[in-house]
Amino acid sequence: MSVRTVNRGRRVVLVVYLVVIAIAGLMGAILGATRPDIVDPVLFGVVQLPASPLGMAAYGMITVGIAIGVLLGAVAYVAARFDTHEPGGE
Amino acid sequence: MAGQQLALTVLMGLVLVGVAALLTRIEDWRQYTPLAGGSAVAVGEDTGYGHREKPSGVIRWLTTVDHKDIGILYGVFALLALAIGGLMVMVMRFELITPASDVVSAQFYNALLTSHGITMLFLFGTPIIAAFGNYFVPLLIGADDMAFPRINAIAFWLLPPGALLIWGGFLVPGIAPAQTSWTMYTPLSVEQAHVGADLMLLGLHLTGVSATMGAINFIVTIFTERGEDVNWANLDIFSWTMLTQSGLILFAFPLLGSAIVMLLLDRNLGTLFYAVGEGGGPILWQHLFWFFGHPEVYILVLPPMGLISYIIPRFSGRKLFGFKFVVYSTLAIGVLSFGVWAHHMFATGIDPRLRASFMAVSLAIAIPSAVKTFNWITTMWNGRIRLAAPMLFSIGFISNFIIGGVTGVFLAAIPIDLILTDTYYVVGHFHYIVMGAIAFAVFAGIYYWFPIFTGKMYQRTLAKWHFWLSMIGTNVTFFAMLLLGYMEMPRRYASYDMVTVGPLEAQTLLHQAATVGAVILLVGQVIFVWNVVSSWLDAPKVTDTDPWDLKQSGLFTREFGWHADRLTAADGGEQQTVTDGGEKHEATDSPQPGDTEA
Repeated sequence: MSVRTVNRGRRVVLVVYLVVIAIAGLMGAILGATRPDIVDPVLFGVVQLPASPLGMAAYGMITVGIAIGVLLGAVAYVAARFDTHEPGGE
Repeated sequence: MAGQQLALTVLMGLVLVGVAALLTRIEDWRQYTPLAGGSAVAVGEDTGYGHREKPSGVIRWLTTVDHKDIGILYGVFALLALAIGGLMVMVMRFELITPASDVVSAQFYNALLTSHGITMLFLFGTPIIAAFGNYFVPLLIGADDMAFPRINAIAFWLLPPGALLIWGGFLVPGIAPAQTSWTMYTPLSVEQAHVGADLMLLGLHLTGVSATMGAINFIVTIFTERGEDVNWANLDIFSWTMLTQSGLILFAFPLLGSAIVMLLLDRNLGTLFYAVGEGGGPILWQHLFWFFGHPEVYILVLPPMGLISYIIPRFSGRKLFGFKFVVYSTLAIGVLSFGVWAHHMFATGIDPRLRASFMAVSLAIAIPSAVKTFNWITTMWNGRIRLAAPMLFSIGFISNFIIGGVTGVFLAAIPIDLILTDTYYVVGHFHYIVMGAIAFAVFAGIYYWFPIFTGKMYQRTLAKWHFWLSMIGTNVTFFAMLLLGYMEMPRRYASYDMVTVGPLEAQTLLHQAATVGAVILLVGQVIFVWNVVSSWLDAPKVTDTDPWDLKQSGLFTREFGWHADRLTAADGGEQQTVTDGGEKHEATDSPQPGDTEA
């Protein structure tokens, strides 16, 4: 298995990861723009962010990015340590 | 008047007898053996692979008990239902472009809404899964056919009359279609006097009977008809999900049937099962309905998850990571799915202690779903990914499933649910699952096995157009709905000019965006239909015994072994024609035991 083809798997997964984070950011930005009256972004219950499109986008991207990023880190760790597949064999 | 009716009845009886007599003259049905194998390639095509016993033309399809033929019938039926349900929702989306009700009446909108839900869940979702199951489970487990071929045929043939009854209100002039929404909540569904609602309930009952018969067949087939070299350890993941799904159907659908009969009795014979005061009240209906309704979600999603678990390894060049855990998570979802139903009823005023326990189980069921997602991504992580159409749809499934799943976890929390219940947030969430995930898996399965059930290859460029338009359309439409929900836009409204919550301008804009997304989706599906039909009719025959190069990664499986055998036999090879089911032959590409795992 070449390095390039292995990287393709990782690249696709990372692109999906980034797309999902971007969607979270977009949702935050739109909510911040349209309903600043009902949002109050406090990152992890500690860091107060402004109720603006930027603040809400940052809130969405950081929260989702870290939550799913932890799982993605676990994927990378498990794949490196416990994946026993032999290419071409069963 | 009475004389006329009597004459009509006698005339109809004579016509039926005439039709029966005609059929017996055309073909002698009894000469066909139920296990007569055969190819399910294009209608009437002779591949020389053991279907000489079958009649030709329409009679073949009306009388077949071959699991592959029935799979094709299920598939065609389900795709027709998808088209009808899709066109219904297009009318609704156009209605919602402006706040006022100016394309169709509110009553007609409600009827479309009801019918769209029922059609997609019962006439597209369950049947398309049965299509894959019927065609491929016997091939994958080394069975000659389903355990009960005739029951299999009956189960399918209950669906068309069921569909006609469900759509009866639209088809029969003079009666209004049901306007109850797919949840059929009482007292609305008891008091709504439309005959269309009775027809719909009867049709729904028939589809339930059909699903139950199919489920019994799958369970018995997987338990008793497996090949000698197929055991529980190497049973493929798709069959595992079909088995679990069938178990869920067995416990869920009969309950729906009973609840529907009680509703019909309340409507027509004056019983009081769901009556306020004397009877169990509207909450009884909701408990019974959702005890069926939530497992139904997993009935619809488990086999698609099986398809994804099956397809991703084959385009990643490696076995499914953590196969056992994917099976365990399937079983865990199956069990837990019966313990979450009241999360649909958080806002009904049920006991807060009950709500808390249902919230806990609802949050817990996210864990096995996350386990599956984890395993799919880990499989891809070190994989040699090939972005063919089945893989694109599988990756789209994962992306949409994450968004649909995460938005669902929030709904499982009581305080959030109380705010978002009955808003478009809910609609956006579950459509990310049913369209973005389930339908995507269905498309992945259709493209992956296209060479098997048509003997042809689809047009790759069109398939990629189909994927990208579906992906963009899904995300535009349902993302807009999530935002509409955050803006407190209530669901099930034909018009929203009177809605006083949220900024109307932004809501209108989002509704328009959702409609644009729906149009993009529609264009994608038109391309899909064109691709399937034109490829099936005109594409050259597949001559490659391994069209996906599965041998290279050691993931060649039984169904493609059967495909290879068919091609060898059609080429005039010396192979013996046998009943279908992928039994092993000499010098063939049939896989070895254990190959099905992954």
